[in-house]
Amino acid sequence: MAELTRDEVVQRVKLKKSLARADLSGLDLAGAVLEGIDFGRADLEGTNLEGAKLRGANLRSASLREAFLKGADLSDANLEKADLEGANLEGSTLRGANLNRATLEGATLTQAVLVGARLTGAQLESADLGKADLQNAVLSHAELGEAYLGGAKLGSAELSNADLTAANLEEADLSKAILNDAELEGVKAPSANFSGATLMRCNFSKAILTNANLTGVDARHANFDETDLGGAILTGARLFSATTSTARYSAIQADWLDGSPNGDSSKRITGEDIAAFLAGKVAPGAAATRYFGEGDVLRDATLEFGEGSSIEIDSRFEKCSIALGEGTDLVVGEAGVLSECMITGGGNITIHGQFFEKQSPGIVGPRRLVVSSCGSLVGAVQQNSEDTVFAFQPGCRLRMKILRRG
Amino acid sequence: MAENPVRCSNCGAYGLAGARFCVQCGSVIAADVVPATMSFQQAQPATEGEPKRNLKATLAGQPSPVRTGGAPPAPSRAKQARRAAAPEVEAEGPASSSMSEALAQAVREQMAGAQPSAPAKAPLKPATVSGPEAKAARADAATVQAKVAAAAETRNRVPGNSAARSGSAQGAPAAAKGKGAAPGASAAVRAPQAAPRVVAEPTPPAPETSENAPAPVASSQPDESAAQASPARQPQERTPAAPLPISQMLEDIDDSFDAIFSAPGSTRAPATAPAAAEEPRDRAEVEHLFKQIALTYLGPVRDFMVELELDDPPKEWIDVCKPAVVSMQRSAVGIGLEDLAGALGGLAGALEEAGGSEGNSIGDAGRHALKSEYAKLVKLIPETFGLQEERDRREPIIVQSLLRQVPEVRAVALGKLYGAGLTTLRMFYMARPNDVADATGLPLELCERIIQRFRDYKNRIASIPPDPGRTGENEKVEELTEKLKQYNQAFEGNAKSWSSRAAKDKRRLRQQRSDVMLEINVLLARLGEVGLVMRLERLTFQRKVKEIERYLEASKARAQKGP
Repeated sequence: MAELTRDEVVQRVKLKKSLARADLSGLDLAGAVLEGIDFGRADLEGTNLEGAKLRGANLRSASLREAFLKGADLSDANLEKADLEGANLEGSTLRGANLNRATLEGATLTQAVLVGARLTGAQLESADLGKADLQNAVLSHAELGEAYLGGAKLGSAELSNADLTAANLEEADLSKAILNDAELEGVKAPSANFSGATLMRCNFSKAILTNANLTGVDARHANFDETDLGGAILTGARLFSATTSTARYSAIQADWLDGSPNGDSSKRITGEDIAAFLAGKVAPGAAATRYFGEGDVLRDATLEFGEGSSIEIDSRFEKCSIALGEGTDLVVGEAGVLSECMITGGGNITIHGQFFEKQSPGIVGPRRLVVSSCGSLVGAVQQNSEDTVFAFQPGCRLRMKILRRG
Repeated sequence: MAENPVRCSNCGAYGLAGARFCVQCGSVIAADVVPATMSFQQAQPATEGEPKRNLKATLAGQPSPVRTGGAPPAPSRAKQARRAAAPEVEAEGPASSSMSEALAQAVREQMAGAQPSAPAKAPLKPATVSGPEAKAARADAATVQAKVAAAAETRNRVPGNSAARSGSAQGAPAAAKGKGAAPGASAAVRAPQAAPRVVAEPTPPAPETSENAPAPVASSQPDESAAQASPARQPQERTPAAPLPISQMLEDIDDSFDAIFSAPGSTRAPATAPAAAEEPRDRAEVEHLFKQIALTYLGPVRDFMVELELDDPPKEWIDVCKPAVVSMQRSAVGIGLEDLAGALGGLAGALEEAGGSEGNSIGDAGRHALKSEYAKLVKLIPETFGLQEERDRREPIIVQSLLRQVPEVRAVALGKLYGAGLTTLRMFYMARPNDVADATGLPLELCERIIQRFRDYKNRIASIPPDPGRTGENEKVEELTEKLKQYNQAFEGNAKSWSSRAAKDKRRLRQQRSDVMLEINVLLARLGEVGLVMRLERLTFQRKVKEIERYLEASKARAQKGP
């Protein structure tokens, strides 16, 4: 039973008094103006907060189980670690709210506005987010198993490492969303829009992506085992190293696919090659694709790769020499480490992992060298007659010297 | 035909001739008591600055302080309170006079100037009123009693009805439970019985009247305070009982109307000049009262017509409705409400015709005729018989709840279905899956499941035998509530566990709980309890269960009492 009445709560709010740890369970606070009030660790279980104004309120670690928050304004509210299990937040506004590690299991968020909200590590299993607006929201590491996200707007949302197992994403808009390493097994996403989304290393096994728009997605290394891609649009999809051989892709639309390891459209797959590529058959020009998996260690080796081949290294190479043919793609994955190694030849080198030279210059004559935000490079780079194209993402760690030929 | 009312020489209460005991004080009524008749007139404002409509019983045809034109003797405040309160003491059981309660209910509404709601469905409730309102309420309760007594006396003639001997005593509590009448009801516990007397104008409050009445109860809650006040009544209210047979209710209607309108000196046959002068106003009152009563007694008819709008109700509904319509028509004829009588007669004919048609359901022709005849009633008394608003309240809840019972139908599918204009039950009954798929773009398999869901529902509804108390639906609600309770308990049990199995069970139970709730919503909406559905949405599942159980208790109590 609540320890305060509605009038007492309103009175306290007028006096800007804190309601932290207060027992307000089951109280009717519909339409109350409670902006900026401190409800930290308060008990609001089953409380009726329909249409309440809670902008900027502190509800950190508060219990809002089965609370009725339909149409409430929770913009910029702090709901970190709050318990909202089974709460009804239909049509509520949570713009910019902090819901990090909040529990929203079985909550109703239909048509709620969560633009720019932070939901890192939030528990949203079986939550109903139908037609919710989650643009630019951060949902990384969020638990969304069996959640309903039908018609939700997730444009540019951050969903890296999120668990969306068996979630329903029918007709959801995920354009330009980031879903790296997300778990999407058994997801139902017919007619969903993933255009421009980053889906690297996503697991889409047994997912239903019929009529989905996957134009220009970066789905390198993604898993499409037994995925239903019937009628999907795949034009420009970057599918290097993606597992597509067991996927069903009848009546797909794809003018071309990007088979390049770097996802830079340097290897376009067109026409009949598309089917072969998706079927996992060796596509023309892709004969020398090699992958060195995580956990392997290679020492004192000399490796030579022919023209046009692709190599990806997630292993540890020690004191190795690698010769690249013209146009060869070498990708050092995030887990890859090239310690005391040397790379020569006019290939395209992308470093997501680490490279440490053996003797200067450690890299000789590359056509292109990219170091991503998580990559490290220690050594000198000797350019060829043609100048090397360099690209360094913000956040990369460099201790390098660029040398001109002669 | 009714007999002349008589007056108790001990307490002054009125009753119909032939009654051997006073309905108020239980005294033996002498054979030579003065017969009395009833008429209605507008009362003075109950309190200063607060005009209040009142129905006042006056004596006509016989020497009477009121009929002779002078100011009637104002009874003391204490007496008024006792009169309002006394029946509460005698209220022995829920099997009170249905007609008398209906009258009291109608009168209460009239006093409050309220738009008539559905009295058959709304539980009678006490309310705490203090100050001027309480004074007025006590005065009103006392004046109402005299009229109620006449109607309630008809119960005396039902052999073996133990409650009949306290006919007016049962009617008055109903009045006392109405708006502003609760103080009277609470006073009943302490105050001795007093004779109902004609009240001319409000008098100052008596010091012994109870101003500190019990706390008010939420609108849909059962009359707990009354149950506490009368311990003998409490267990009976909790015991489910079969609703009053329709024949008995109809007998009430006939008898009561006869008692009110056909007695010598009634509004139809005023015996004196002053009474004649009041006739137009009295007639308006009578018509108003008739409409109020029609609202109660034709409640099942209205329900049937709503069902007819929504669904394909079984023919058994006709057996429920026809006698009520015929009886109300007869009463309308008796009062001289020719238009209403004609419309009711037309409806009775349409019912007869529909009942005689072949098959188990009402055919298109019957449906058309019924709607057409009912439309005439709506035209005459839209506030009583109007269906559109009621249908618009109920149908969206039913349709959405049914749709959401199909697992794949969520926000997107709902949007498509509504976007295609599929918003009514009838549309889903008539539509073919192919048509729905074409119109909405939803997969054919899903459309098949949707249509099948609606057909199953239609068949299930058709299998529920109709009755005025909607017992079948309420039993189903009860059954589902028990299920909801179990699921919720299991869910809460699992919520405390951290195992993966518990998490899985929790997900399953959450879904089951929601599905059961949707089924309950459908039934409650069918029963016209849209407000309850809205309230339930705002509650936790535990409180949902309690609220539904409270509603079911109130329904049972109503079923026991009859309309």
